[in-house]
Amino acid sequence: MQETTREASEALAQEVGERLRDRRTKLSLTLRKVADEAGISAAHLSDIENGRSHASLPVLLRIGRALDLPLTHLLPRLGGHHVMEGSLGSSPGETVLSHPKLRLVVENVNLRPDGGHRMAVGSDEDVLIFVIEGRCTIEVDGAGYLVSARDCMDVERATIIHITALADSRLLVCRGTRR
Amino acid sequence: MVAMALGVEMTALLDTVTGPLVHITRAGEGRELRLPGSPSFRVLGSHGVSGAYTAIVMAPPDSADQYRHYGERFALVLSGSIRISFGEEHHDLETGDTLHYAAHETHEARRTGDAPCQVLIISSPALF
Repeated sequence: MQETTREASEALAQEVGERLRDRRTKLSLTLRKVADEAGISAAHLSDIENGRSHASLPVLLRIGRALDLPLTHLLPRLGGHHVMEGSLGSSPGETVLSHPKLRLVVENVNLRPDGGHRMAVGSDEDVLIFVIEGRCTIEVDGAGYLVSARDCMDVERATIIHITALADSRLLVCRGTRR
Repeated sequence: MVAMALGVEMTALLDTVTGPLVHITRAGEGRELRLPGSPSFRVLGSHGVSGAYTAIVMAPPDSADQYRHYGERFALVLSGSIRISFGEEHHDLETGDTLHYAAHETHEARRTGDAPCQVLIISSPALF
């Protein structure tokens, strides 16, 4: 257990360090310049970049400011190992294919002819509908569109999306939140 | 003037006027792009960098290329088969299989088998 915690801690230091170095070199700034702005020694910054030292949060915040890099851009990269395998189904119905800890919500929606699927869309959501096979009409806030296999519909600022299948259809429906 | 009188931004009024934006990329269509060091791909959906995602279709390379990105990826194998690996952890995906993953970990992706291979990839946040 202790070993695992130590490994995770080292991986974290490594990850933060790499991110900071990537950013600093992208901006063509020297260790000295960034360290001065953050109020630490160049040697300390070098240790942080190499994952040999954990920066305290206040120090990390100051380095972030010197690099114009908000902490939020640093921290999502530290998210764990999130991987989820899935497979398209063949029977009618909906199957969630996305990982619960990630942001995109992806579903496989299979419809029989005349089958329908209705979605209420959040005001900050974009929706992508990819037709894997079949043919459907998709109504977006009342306006109808005909789509068939391998068509891809990208919808922004909709309230209600209603899909009606004209043939056996398999769809991938992805929702994401705008930044 | 109306916006000023109501004390709201012009865009708040325009939003209600323009309603939903719908873009359909028909089968086989979509802007073809090639970035340095990556195979070419076709863009199926993107609303610019403030959008929720970018959707592309690409043919993965035969050799294992290494990737590491900010955010997350969702992959659906449209044809053929691929292997996506995180270190020693391998995910062998056939046509119709999907993989949703946090992309900050170094990972490799390559085509397996001889059949032509196409993968739909949805990246979030948006790439461009």
